[in-house]
This record gives sequence, structure tokens and C-alpha cells, in this order.
Amino acid sequence: MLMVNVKKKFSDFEMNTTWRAGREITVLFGPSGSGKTTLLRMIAGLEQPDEGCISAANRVLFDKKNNLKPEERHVGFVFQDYALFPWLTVRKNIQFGIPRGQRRSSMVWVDTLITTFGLGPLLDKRPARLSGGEAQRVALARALAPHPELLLMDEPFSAVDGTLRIQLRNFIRDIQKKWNIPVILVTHDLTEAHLIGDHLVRLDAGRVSYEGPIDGLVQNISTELMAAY
Amino acid sequence: MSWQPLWLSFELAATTMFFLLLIATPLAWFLAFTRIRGRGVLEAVFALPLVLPPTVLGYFLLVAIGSRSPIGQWYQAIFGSTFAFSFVGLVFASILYSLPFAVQPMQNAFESLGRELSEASRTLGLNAWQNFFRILLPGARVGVVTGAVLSFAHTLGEFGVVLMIGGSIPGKTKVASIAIYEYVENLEYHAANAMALVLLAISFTVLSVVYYYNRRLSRMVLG
Repeated sequence: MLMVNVKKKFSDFEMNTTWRAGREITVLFGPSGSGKTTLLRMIAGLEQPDEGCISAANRVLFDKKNNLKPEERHVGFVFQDYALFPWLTVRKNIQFGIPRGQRRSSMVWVDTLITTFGLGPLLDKRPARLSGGEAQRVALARALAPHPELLLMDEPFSAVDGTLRIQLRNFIRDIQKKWNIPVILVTHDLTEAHLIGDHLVRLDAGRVSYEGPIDGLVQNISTELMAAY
Repeated sequence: MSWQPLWLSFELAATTMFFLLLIATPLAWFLAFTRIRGRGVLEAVFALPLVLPPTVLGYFLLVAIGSRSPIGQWYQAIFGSTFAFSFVGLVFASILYSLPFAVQPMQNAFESLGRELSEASRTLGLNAWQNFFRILLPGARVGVVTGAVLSFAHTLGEFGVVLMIGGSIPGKTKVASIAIYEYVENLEYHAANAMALVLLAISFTVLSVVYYYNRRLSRMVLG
């Protein structure tokens, strides 16, 4: 279980959020600039809250006394632009997060990832030669390789469309079920959120305006629309 | 024609390049990623040797490390010889003079790499040091190699700073460019021609190798 309770001041708004994410797919939903990516970065340790507490799997990642470095958090992060290492092959990208001493013993695990994500024919290619969907799958495999305790994904559908989008959605669902880890996914697309999420946190200008099941949000928005007209 | 000045130029250029790799790489990384105020001023300070006449830089350095200066006196007390008009003084001056030629390509390379690759590597378990050696250095290696080689080539051809700081002591501070100047002064055009041609050939070869290497490396990265 991930617990997030953070505050951070920005020039144009103040973030003040409290929410949780279980072993399911939690969607952070909200308009651009509402603080979704910032929240993901705070969980990963790439940005620091002004105050508050973040804990995952009964480990404190951040509070008044503790601020674990990104490498100590065991959090998998799939970046919006994938952030694959361009000079490394697909295989080396996937193995990157596995300590060198454990690579031999992790070969079966890496092969499982390669099979799961259908990356066999791509192993010797460099990222520049991959399509958007392929790069996305490599980024996912790389993030999962060091056995993270939770998986964060920043706008995973922004660079893919059509059939690929449906495939990727099914992929993420399967992974979550198979490895049973909390997946936190950022999107500003309500349809996408509805199609993939179990639990939803809606952010507006740094505040949580809804937290609960996905269907509840749809109802919530309908009520808002009715009130507006 | 004596080969000694050419050999000394090589020694000076190689030593300067070695120290600049150690100094300029972390400095370029710092300038690329720091968010401190006054970064522009810092960049201007390190880029000054690009625009300052070499004789002016040489003069300032002579004032700073000459035997009347505190640094010069301190050096003399410890090592028993003068800092200026020595090979060590030349290396010191060359490092400052060639610093922007090393820093700027390295800084550009670090900047174009961006923060995201480092952030990805940190979330994959690498600490800051490991990230520097496994992500930043390989990612910016074209810039690092270019910076190192440019500083080598630039030091090989320096004249004004060397003349001010080193003078022309054979075997100690008389480098190739000074030797060519003296050959011309003494109307020994044959020797001047030979040494100038050797310098031209070396500079051309060094730059060709760098451009070839950079192109190959870019192609490699693109798969």
C-alpha cells in the first residue's frame, strides 16, 4: 500500500494532497498543470515535497526525518518519453537496473520479461530504431527488471494510438495482475482513466477533488455538469 | 632544426589535456546542471580566455604567479625554483588558457543529454557516482573527447601566454611556436617552414580524427 500526504508550494499554486494506492491500478487524473507528474516524481524521490509523508509497503520513503534517495526507494518509473539509454541495446537497457553481480542469476527473470513483452526480435537493436510502442514496452520491462515494490507510469498512452493503445492497456492490466504490485498511472484522458483504472485520484490545482472507484468519478462529473447547466 | 621544442609542445599539450580532463569534466557537468544564481557570471569567467588577448591573460598570470607574488614566493619556498618561467608554470597557464575549449563542448554534451536519463538511472538503483560514470560520461563522451582533443590542439599552438609566462628557455619553456618565431627572427626560414608544416600536419590530423570519431560514434548511437 502506498500512502501519500504531501505539501509543496509552487509559484502559481500550492499542492496539498492526501491519498492512497493499493495493489491495483490507481489513476492520477487531472488537467495539465494540476500536479500529477510532480506527485509521481515526489514518490520516486526525483523531487522533494516541502512537508508531509510518503510511505510504501510499510517503508517510509519521505517524512520529516527521512528522505530516501531515488535508488533506495525500489520504485519503477516509466517516463513519458521512455528515457531509454540510446547507446545501449534493448537487452542492456532491460538489464541495466539489475546489479552486475546478480545478472547471471537473473537471466531467467530477464528472459521472462523479454517473453512477456515480446521483445525477443528487438534485443540487439538500439532505441533509435524502435517504434513508439516497442520503446514503451522496453521501458516497462526495464522498470520491472529490478523487482520494484511499485510501478509509476507518466502518461504511458501519450505517444501511442489505435490498436497499440489497446494492446498496451491490456499489457499493463496483465502485469499488475501477474506481479500484484501497486501501479500508479498518470493521465489527463478520462476515457483512458475509465478503461484502465481500478482506483482514481482526481487532482485539481494540486488538491484531490475526488478519490475512489473509477465509476464514482463519472457520476461525480455528471453531477458537476448538471449543476453547471 | 631542433626537435626539442616540438617534443616540449607535445609534453605540454598532453599534460594540459590530462589535467583538463580531470578539471573540466566535473566543471562542465556542474555548469550544465546547476540551478544556482549567478551561473551566467560563472560561465563568463570560465569563457574569458576565449576573448582575452593571450598576452593580457599571460600578463595577469605573470603578476599572479611571478616571483614577487605570494603564490610565486610560496612555490619558491617549497620547491626551490620559480613558478613562472618553468614547465609547471606553463602547464598551469595552459590549463587556464585552454579551459573554455575543454569545458564548452563537454557542457553542451551534458546539457543535450538532459536530466531524464540520469533520473531513469537513479530510479533503476544507481547512486550519483555510478550515474556519472555509467550514464553521464558515456552519454556525453563525444563532447568529452572533443573537449580533450581541442584543448590538446589549442595548447599545441599557443604563443602569447607561453611567451609571457615561460619566455624561451630551451628544454624547459621553449615550445614549437616560440621556436618558429625565433627561427623567423633569425631569418632561418627553412627551419621555420619545417616546424610550421609539422605543426600544421599534427593539428590537421588531430582534428580529422576527432571529426571522424564523432561521426562514427553518432552513427553507433543511432544503431
